[in-house]
Amino acid sequence: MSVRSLRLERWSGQLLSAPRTRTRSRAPCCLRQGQQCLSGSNTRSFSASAVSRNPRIEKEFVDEDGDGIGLFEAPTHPVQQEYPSPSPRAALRSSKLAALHARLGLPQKLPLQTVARTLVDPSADSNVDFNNASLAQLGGSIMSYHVSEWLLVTYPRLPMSVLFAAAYAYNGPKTLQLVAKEWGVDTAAAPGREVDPGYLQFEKLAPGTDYAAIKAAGGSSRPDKFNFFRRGMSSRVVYDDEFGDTIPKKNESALPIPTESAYAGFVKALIGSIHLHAGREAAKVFVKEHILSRQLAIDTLFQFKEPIRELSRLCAREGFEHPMARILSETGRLSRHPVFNVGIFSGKDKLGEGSGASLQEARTRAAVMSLKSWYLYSPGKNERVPSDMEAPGEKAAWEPVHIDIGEVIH
Amino acid sequence: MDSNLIRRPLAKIVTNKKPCLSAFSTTSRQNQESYRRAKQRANIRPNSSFLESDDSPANNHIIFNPPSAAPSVFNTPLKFLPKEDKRRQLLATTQARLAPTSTRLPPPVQRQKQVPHHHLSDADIKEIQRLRRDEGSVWTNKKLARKFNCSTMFVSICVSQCGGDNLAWQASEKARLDKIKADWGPRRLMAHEDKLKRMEMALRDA
Repeated sequence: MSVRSLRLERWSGQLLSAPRTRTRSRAPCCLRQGQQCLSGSNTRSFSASAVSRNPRIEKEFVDEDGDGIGLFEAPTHPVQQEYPSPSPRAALRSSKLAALHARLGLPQKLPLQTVARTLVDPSADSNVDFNNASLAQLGGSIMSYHVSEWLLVTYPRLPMSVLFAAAYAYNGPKTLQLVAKEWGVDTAAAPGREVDPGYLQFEKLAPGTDYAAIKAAGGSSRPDKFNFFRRGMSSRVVYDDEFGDTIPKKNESALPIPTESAYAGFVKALIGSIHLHAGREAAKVFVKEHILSRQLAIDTLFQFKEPIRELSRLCAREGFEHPMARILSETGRLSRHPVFNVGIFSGKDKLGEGSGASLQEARTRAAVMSLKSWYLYSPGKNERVPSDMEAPGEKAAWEPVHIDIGEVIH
Repeated sequence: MDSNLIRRPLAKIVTNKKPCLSAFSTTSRQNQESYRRAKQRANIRPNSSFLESDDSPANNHIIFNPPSAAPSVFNTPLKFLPKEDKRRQLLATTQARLAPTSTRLPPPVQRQKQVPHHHLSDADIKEIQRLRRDEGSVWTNKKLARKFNCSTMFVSICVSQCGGDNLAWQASEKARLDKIKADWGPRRLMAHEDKLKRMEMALRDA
């Protein structure tokens, strides 16, 4: 999971392609600064949302001449004084941003301008030099790596579906929205230049929009789209993202997005910016304190189909005696509300127990509990994870962690 | 495990608060008419572990008397610990001390059927498959198991390869059950739905 979720090839698009090709995206940066010096004040002739629908840069246009004369030709490129997102200079004057920086205890090396950039979603500003897409890609990979390595070391026997669900519960978009809201980050009603940089800016979905249908219509990056029915756990591991969901084929960054995706992008981008400015350890500590410190009831994520058979296959695989259900205690067998307490025994050792209103229910519950206690084995909450070895003061040699042979197949 | 993805409402399972034992959802209320009666009722004799006895230690000591509770899935049984785990040694000594002296186990839920294994030849298996294929309505799994003295599980594995399709039988069975269900009134229907919900919850042990 960890190696796959890093997806180095997916970072490279935005981070590496910009310096290689000279596009017009460089020019407006300079142009913009020049204009700001000239005009000196914000012009508010257009509404914010109208501006954001007119992206200021044609990214497809490649200036192959390299002389840059065409950049200042007025007829082909009309002077646009309106930009979709606030200028970096406004970040220094925003009390909201400064308060957020202080409240989260962010490192001093992380400038306010970068924090402001993490709050601009690609749907608000399509220019990759001013939105948080690249930072979110980096930060999302870092966060996903730390969560998955912690899960794998802490619960080495988790089945794949539970691992996906646990990763989703720790760093899925819904949880990241909760986290960002607890940090006190609000959304701007509509993105625009005049908005305070302390607000999260993105193009909101119209109420009642069926986003799942839009996303499904775009298609996924799976190569087996014609064999859509071949979508088991193994194919999710190979083709899909860290939560077992399909990866959308093309990223229409200018389209409106749901609030949770925008919040998730912000949290990821903030982690990415901490990594870039303050280093690997700071980013790891941040993930630990804000994401991994949360309490997850991981035992509620299990869903079994045939627990009794699965348990007997487990015992056969591990060389234990065949599991037997035995009645530990019971009350009111002939009454309207009987209660049976059934234990599952392998030889003389009790593996688990459960109680229910019928013998069948109690036996099922006991088998489920035994299986859960097998899958939820943990060597300890504070086990060392592989990335701990990269810490500067780490002297002790690495002890291999427990690696399980996998879930029970029955 | 189920091969589908599991998605539960996150607000219920992810919190930033540690679980707190003393958080009661219901407020305690005095239902007794008078303080005296309530006090009388609460005057319970303490557990014997709280009382001083001749063999209790002379100095200050810790009384370990936890309230009875359902066992937690996070306490891995000794048998499930991997061989290199350090807790194995500790738990083994504790279990040896706490285990009851009598070796009698509680009674089983259902008596194990003494069915012989690996006693049917290929000809027998062919015969099972022929009977099911030709006279499927008569030779049910149960009857075949009784005739050949094997388990119904084994019969079901044999007949799954016999080639005949039992779609017609499945359809007739479904029609029969649907007819029975159509006669149910609202109370029985609700009881049936509740039962299905209970079994689904039992599969999660929720």
